[in-house]
Amino acid sequence: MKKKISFIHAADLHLDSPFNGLSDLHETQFQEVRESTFKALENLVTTAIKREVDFIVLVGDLFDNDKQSLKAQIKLRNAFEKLQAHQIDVYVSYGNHDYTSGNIYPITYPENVHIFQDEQVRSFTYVKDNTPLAMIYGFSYENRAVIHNKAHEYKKGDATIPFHIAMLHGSIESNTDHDTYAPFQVGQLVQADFDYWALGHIHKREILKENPYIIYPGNIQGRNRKEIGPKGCYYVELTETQQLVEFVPLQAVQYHTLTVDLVDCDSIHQVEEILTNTLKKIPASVPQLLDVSIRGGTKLWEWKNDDVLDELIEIINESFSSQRNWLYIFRYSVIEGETVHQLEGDYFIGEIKNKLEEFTGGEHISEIYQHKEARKYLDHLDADELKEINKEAYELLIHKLFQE
Amino acid sequence: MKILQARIYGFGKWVDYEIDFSKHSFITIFGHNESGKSTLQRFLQFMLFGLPPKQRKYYQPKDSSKMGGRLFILDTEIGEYSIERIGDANNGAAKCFTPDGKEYDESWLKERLHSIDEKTYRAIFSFSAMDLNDLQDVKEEEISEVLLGIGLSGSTKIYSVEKRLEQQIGEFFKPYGKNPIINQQLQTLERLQREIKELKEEEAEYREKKNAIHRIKGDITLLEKTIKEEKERQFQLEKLIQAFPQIEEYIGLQNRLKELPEEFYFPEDGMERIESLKRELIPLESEIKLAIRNREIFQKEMEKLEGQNSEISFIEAKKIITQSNEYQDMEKEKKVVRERVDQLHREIRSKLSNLNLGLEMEQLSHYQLPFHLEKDWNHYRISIESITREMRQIKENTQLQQAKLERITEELSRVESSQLTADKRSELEGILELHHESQLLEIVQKEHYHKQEKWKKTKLQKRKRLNALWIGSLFLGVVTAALSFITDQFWLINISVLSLIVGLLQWFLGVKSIQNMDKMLEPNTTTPFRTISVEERRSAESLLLQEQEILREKELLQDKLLDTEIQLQQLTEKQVVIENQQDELMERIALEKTKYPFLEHVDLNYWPELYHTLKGILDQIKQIDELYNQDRDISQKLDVYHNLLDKFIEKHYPSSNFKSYISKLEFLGNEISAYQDREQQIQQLKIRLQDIENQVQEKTISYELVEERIISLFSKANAKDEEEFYKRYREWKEQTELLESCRRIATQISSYFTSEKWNNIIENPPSRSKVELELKECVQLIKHLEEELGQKRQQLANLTVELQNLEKSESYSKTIHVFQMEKERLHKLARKWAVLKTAKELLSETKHQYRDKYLTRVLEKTTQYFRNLTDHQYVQVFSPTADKPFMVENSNKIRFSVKELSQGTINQLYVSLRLAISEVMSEKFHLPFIIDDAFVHFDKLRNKRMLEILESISKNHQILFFTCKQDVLEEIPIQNLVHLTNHIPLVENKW
Repeated sequence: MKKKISFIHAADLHLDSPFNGLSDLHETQFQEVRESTFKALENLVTTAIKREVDFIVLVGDLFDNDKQSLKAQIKLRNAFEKLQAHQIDVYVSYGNHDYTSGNIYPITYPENVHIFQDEQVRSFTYVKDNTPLAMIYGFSYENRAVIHNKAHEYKKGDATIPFHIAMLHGSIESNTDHDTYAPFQVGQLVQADFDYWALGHIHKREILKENPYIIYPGNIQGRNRKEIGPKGCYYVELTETQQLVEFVPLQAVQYHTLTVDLVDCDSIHQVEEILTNTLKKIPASVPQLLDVSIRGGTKLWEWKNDDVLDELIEIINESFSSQRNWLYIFRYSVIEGETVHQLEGDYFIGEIKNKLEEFTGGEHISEIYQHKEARKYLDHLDADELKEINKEAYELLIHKLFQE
Repeated sequence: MKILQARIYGFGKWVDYEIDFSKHSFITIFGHNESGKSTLQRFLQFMLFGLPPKQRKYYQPKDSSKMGGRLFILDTEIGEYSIERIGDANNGAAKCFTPDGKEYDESWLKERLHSIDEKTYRAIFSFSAMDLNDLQDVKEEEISEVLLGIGLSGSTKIYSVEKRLEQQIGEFFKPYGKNPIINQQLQTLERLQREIKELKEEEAEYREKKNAIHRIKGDITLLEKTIKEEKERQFQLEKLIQAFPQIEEYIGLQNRLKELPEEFYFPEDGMERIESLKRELIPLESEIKLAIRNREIFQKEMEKLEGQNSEISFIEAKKIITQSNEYQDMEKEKKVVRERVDQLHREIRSKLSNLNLGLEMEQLSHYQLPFHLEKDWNHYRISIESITREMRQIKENTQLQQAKLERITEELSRVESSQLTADKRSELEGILELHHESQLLEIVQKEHYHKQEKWKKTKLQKRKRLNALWIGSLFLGVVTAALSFITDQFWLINISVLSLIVGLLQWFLGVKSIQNMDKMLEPNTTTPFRTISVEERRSAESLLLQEQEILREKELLQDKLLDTEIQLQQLTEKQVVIENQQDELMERIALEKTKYPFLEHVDLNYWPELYHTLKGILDQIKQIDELYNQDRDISQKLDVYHNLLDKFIEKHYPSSNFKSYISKLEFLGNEISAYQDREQQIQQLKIRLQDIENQVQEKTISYELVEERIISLFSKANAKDEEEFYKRYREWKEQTELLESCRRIATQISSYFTSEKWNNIIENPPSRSKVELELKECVQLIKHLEEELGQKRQQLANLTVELQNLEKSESYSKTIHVFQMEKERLHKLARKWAVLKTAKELLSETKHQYRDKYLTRVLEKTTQYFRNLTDHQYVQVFSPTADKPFMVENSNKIRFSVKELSQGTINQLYVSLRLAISEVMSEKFHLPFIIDDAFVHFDKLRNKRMLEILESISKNHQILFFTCKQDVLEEIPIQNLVHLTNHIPLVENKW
């Protein structure tokens, strides 16, 4: 008989970790957002059961130690128990967010869960019908970081076993966008000759290589405005001759970005009409969190500076909040705004512009960002954000000085 | 920049009007109200910056279709150019024409105007009485700011905007406030943070609770175990109390047991086994007796039969009977022999008669025919035949040889006649010899010549060598001689002499040998000899060959003749030998005939056949003799047998009288079979006896075995006899019953006590009261432990519930989400605040910088103008500071704030400020000033001063001063004045 295994590869569940960039949500929306990571986990379990997979590999960051809730642990245990009822094994390695020394809850997982306990690369053997079918390799972060290359520690075991799957929570050496943990090079992974590399840590899904597959499945639920679109896991089927991978979306709430052109709008009502129509056209199978970029002219800036736009967005959010797959504009930004160029000749405006160039360090707003209380809760502003603030301030000032 | 000329195609009331500003840089345009001053200003603005469609429509002349005009400009950088705008053409856009004939559009123009728009232009470079009117509305305390605002951008909004922003900022956030939105948000976050901490601690209890549960579970297990143990003890004690009667009974039994012998053994089922063994013995005894009786009966019977058989000699009789068959065979054989003899007699007689030789059987039997006779007879016959044949052959051969002899003799005589004579032959031989010698001589001469030639060469070489040797030795001799003289070594002379002698000797010997050789090789003179011709030689040769041939033939014939003669001799000898043989043979035949007279009448040729016949007859006669012998033997044997039979009968049955041998034999046969029957009976009896004997033995062994077992039982029971055995049995039975009672009691209590414990109790029987006390204590302890267990269980249940609640609780989870969201809200608010704050800061900083940059100079100019205008009544203007507005100082060094000044003075200050700003600004832009009756409230004197100021400014800037005041005209040189009237010709001021 042809030997075959099927499994699900997921990582970065970040159960019960709060979302970034959301405020003033409607109560039901808030509930749904709050439950979204669990809902995604539930979807994962359902998928595994429906597809009758042999096992699941979870490659680190199942939850965040920093904001770890007991609920996350309990839900996870319940999920594992449900999988146990369907004879689905789970292989878990911990990552930089759920490192073992930081786990404060003594939850006992059921016996179908196999955990890589330490930083030594070890392996489990998956046995089906008394035949060893696969070996699963991996390690867990014992502390907040693993900074050395672990790739070369992966050594293939019993060669008579048909499938070898490696779990690695880390990032490519050259990737400096994220914290570089357990850095590796794709070449090193290829050389190690495994049948599948189940990676974790990077939230954006990516197939680094085919044959063998080296895959970041991404996180299962987007949690900030940069984690847009469908999020989920990979369904993998390995035979001795073939490799099949399929992305399965699991997200309960989806981040979505869109750009709306409002250049030709003369009145705020037109803006409302266009925005509403655009939103209605969004195909939504799950609730959507929208990050809207608005392209518009001077008028738009005027509306914005007069807070009319804010009010409009609030109204629109209200109107879309009651439907099953609700929509919510959590952020909007005006792009390519044409400034009031006819005022450029103004002597004073010229001076303002020059002055603006000097406003880069954010010292003038340190009153709040360095405030003893406030700075505990406020993130440090980066250059881009400062730039945006400056631009808005400039627009506001011009508007106040000359438009009103 | 300077406006040189304006040509109006049509604008408001102005149609086809041209006005020149090029003559002076300070031009006063005078006109009464409604004379079109404002329209003209508008026109200039229209030309420079354009107008919106509505405004353009407003200025469309009522009496002309034309709308638009052209403005001629002098630019410091590119020189003269003109701007043209025509009505709605190109949406009122400008076309610019440079002196080099190029045409440019609006954006080019904008660049030339430094992107200054109409609004800015009006704010900075043009001011009118209207601006002063606006000033009236400003609150006194704000004047300073307004003035600053004007000073900065010509706008009055900076102040209000700044105020508004500050207010908004305050609404959002105050560093030490409580009510602003952000401050409130911070409080919310603070609260949430605390809540999270508490909740987290609560969840942290999870671990403790888990541990507690584990601990309590352990306690419970331990308690349950202890209770179980105690209950067990209680049970034991209760049972002990119950078992007291039995314990007493048991002890009594044990005492009785002690009285009995300790070491006691009685075989298992001993009595039964003895009885059964005895039962086994009885049948065995009777069987043995029966068998012995039977044995006696059979023995008697057998003895009787054996007695009968011993009377007869069975072996003898058996032998006779066996031989009777042989006897009968012999009788038959005797008969056959006699018949055969008769037949042979008949055959012989017939054969003899066939021969017809007159021989009788008796005669013939006397002859001996030895084995060689046949061969001899045959040999005679063949020899006679061969002798006759040879005799005939010899005769024929003799005749043939004689004929041959005659023929050879004849031939020989013929050969002899053809032979050569002896002389002739010797002559021929001489010729041939001579020829042979001459040939040999020729060859020897040739060889000699060759040798001589060779010698000549050798001789020459030898001579040379000899000469060289001689000269060499001579030289050596001379040299050594000379050397001896020079050195005085006289022995060297010897060497010299020796060498000379040796040299001379060599030479002589050499010459001698050459001469010898010459002599030897001297050519020998040849002797001449007779030559023989070729024909002669050949004929001689052939004749000699013929002679040889004839000689050979003669020899051959002589040989043949000799042979023939020899053969004839041989034949004659052979004939004699054969004749002798014949004679000898005939003699021997005759001898035979005498030996066998019947051969006389028989030809020799038939003798062998006769031999055969006679031989056959003789064999048959021999056979007859043999048969006679046989018959005799048989008869003898028969006689012996008859004798034997008769003797036997007489001996054993003397009374009997049998006539024939046959009857005798029959009787004998009967007797033998009777004997054999008896013998068989005896054998059967023997077998049965053996059986009985075996039976007796077997039973006896069985009997003995049983007896042994009985004895062994006795010994096992330690009894000497049956009586003692029964006694032992009784004792054993009593002990068994006692033990049984003990065991019964032990069994009853075995479910309560272990054997060890039981032993303990028996050895040291406890007192009843002590046991009862112990039981009471035990019951109490159990009660106490059970209470404790109940408490622990309750604790466990509580903890489990709490744990479950914790597991179910979402408050922490929810709170962190809320917290995150509130944090985001704070972030948003902070951002909004940041925008406002940035805007405000931007504004104030720009303002400050702006002021720092320009205000000093503006104030200098302002002070200068203000001083002039007030005729040095006020000497100094101070810029506003953080807490103070504009201040002015009068000639008495007294300072006033702006609001303390009279309206007129404020106006003067304002004008001074505006002028100062314009001047400072135009240092950069050089745009013409347009002033429209700004000094309407000024008196004559002040006007004059004002004009002086303007005059001085106009040195650097073009000033277009519009006025309607007559008294101003007086102050103005006529050449700088433009009058606007309703009927002004198209081109004015041609001067």
